[in-house]
Amino acid sequence: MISVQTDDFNVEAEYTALRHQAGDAGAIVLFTGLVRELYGSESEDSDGSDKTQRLFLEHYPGMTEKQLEAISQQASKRWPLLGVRILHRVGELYPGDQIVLVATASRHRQAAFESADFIMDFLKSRAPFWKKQTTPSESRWIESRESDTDALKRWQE
Amino acid sequence: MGRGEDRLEAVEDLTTVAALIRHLSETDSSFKELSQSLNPPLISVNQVFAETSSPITDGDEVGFFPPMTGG
Repeated sequence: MISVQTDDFNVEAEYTALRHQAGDAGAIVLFTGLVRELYGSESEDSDGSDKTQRLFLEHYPGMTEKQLEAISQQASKRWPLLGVRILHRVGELYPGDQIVLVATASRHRQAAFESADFIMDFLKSRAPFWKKQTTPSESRWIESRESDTDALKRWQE
Repeated sequence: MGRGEDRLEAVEDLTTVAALIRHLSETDSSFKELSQSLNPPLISVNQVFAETSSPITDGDEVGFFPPMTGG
């Protein structure tokens, strides 16, 4: 199931729902992405001017859901999955907030781990979401990272 | 592009995304920049990823957008 929403989500409720849906699953992998304070810069000696105060997530209503559905279907073709849940938040978010949840269920753990990883890699650069970061010094659209597009290459056979 | 949505009157001979970009470039400086950019935008037609060579017809929804940064 796919959801794009402004509301926060409850991990336990999502886990329970997938567990019921997945029937005889032997493994459920659940990933959550959170808003970081230091988004653009990884440096420890930051003066604080690049710390995220606020993140704004924009999407392309309609196409975003279609792309997430397509990514979910690709994962289901590649691994024997008993359930997939993708939930992505949009709108205004703050450091520490939950942004995204990806959960996969399968009979065995390897398929669940790998498919969740695959879905996250594709979701980052193949689903129309854009992040705008507000720091004490500026407000700007975050640029895509080469490491994110590189991450897709490892799934090419 | 700094905008959300525009609706265009149908113009004859606009049968591909490339033709649409050329048409918009004549009146819109941001499209002119875009058509000459070394980093072309991502394109969608009716909410599916497309190319500049993709065919379009009256009523289609064409999207131009920057690299995506979800997750």
